[in-house]
Amino acid sequence: MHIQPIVELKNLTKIYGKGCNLCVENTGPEHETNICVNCNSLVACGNVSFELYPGETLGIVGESGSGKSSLLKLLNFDIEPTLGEFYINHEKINTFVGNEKVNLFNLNSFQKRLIKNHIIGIVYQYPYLGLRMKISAGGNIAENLIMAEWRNIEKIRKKISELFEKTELPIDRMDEQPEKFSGGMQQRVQIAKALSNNPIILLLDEITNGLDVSVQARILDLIRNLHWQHNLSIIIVSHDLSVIRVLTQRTIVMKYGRIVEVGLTDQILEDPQHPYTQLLVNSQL
Amino acid sequence: MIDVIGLSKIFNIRINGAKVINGCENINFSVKEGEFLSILGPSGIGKSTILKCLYRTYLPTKGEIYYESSIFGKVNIARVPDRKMIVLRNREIGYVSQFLRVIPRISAIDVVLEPLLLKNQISYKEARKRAEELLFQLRIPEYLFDAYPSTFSGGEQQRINIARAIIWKPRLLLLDEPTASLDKESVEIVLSKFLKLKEEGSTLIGVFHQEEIAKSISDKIYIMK
Repeated sequence: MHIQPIVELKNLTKIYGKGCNLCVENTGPEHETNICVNCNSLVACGNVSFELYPGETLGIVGESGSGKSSLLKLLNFDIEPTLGEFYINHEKINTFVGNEKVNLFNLNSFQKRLIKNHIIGIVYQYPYLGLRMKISAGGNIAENLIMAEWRNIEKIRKKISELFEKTELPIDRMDEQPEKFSGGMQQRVQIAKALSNNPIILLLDEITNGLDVSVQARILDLIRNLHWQHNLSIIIVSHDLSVIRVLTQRTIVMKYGRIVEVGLTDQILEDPQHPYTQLLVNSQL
Repeated sequence: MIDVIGLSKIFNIRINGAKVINGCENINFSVKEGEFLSILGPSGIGKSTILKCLYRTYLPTKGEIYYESSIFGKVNIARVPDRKMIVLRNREIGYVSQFLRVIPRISAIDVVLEPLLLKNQISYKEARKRAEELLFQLRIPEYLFDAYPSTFSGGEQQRINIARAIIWKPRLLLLDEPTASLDKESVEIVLSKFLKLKEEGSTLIGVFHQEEIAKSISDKIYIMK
């Protein structure tokens, strides 16, 4: 029984600044910095490689500034990598890029947009990054649908109602602006938007940050149900280990832009190997 | 079915002043398919450590754990890739912890039926029916089925935990003091469930405190000193 990963990421490196050929060598956990002493550039991610399997939920933990959010933004083509290879193995992608296995980072911007619109859904840490606060909640979702060639206004509204129902949003507030919504509702609108084009990969960036615990539990519950119903492959970035424990099967631990440990989530939490992971696990309340 | 050879687990604590803690050392045993093995011994001797190594919650420091899988053939759990271990956990190997770790906002019945959905392609309705039957047998009152286990008593939570572990009839079931928080009547029901599982062909490895429980259900007993 061989299982092919749905996502393969190889040696992803992102350097902010002019960069030099010593950047990756000069940074990382063993140097306790992500700033290169030679050229002062910041290495947000250095040689990050991992695989995501179909239907899997993969957690990424690490302190602020460890490169977690940069990683998700790179996977969503929001920012350009300095180096690296990114492959998605799914039949849906062949219609956009052909049958040959191609490094998705090398695609043109039109092809990248197609993948963003049809393959990947993302929920950002801050709702204002994922939503336009001044246009209606429904309008925000419609934007995604229109980009994916939906043209019939009635069908679009019907689809939005379905998404509102699925994400436990009140349908009668579809035409209100998200800025009038609570934090938890804004996150739901983001999730509805991310799901609108039936993605196969869902990227979640600290989605429960700043929400009170009951709202947090509802969001987590929603993600669990969506995972079940749609068999999505999910990458969850969080610094909250209880979120990771409840939602993921495998976990990656990052520090200074590097992966310091990968393992089964219960192994990471109960038998952490790397000193940083041990510190992280022991700092949990 | 299982050959444990020279298994050692040493915890290397690297923070707060480096410490080395011995979990277990040079453990050797074999279990045949369909057998019930119990491990007895005082607290802190490393009984749970062995079980957690078998489930790969702990990474063994030394030694091999050969397991005859029906999907992959012979695998060494001590070194198996994470991805394969996830498949083994979903399809072959179950684990009962001492306590239920509740997931917020998931009803008792859903906690129990979830592994069934993971392993088999059956409908939610069918899975729910089987979960209800099992909870009846474990004497969980019906009004609790759709409640959240976080509000349950310790004994009720543990029976939910056990139900979740046995409903999908794993080929290998690891039991970490499963009966510690149960009253006498519940213990008997639960033990009869384990024995039924064994009759149906499962292999069980259990860690127990009470010798009489271990004696009443095991084919083999290992005592740790």
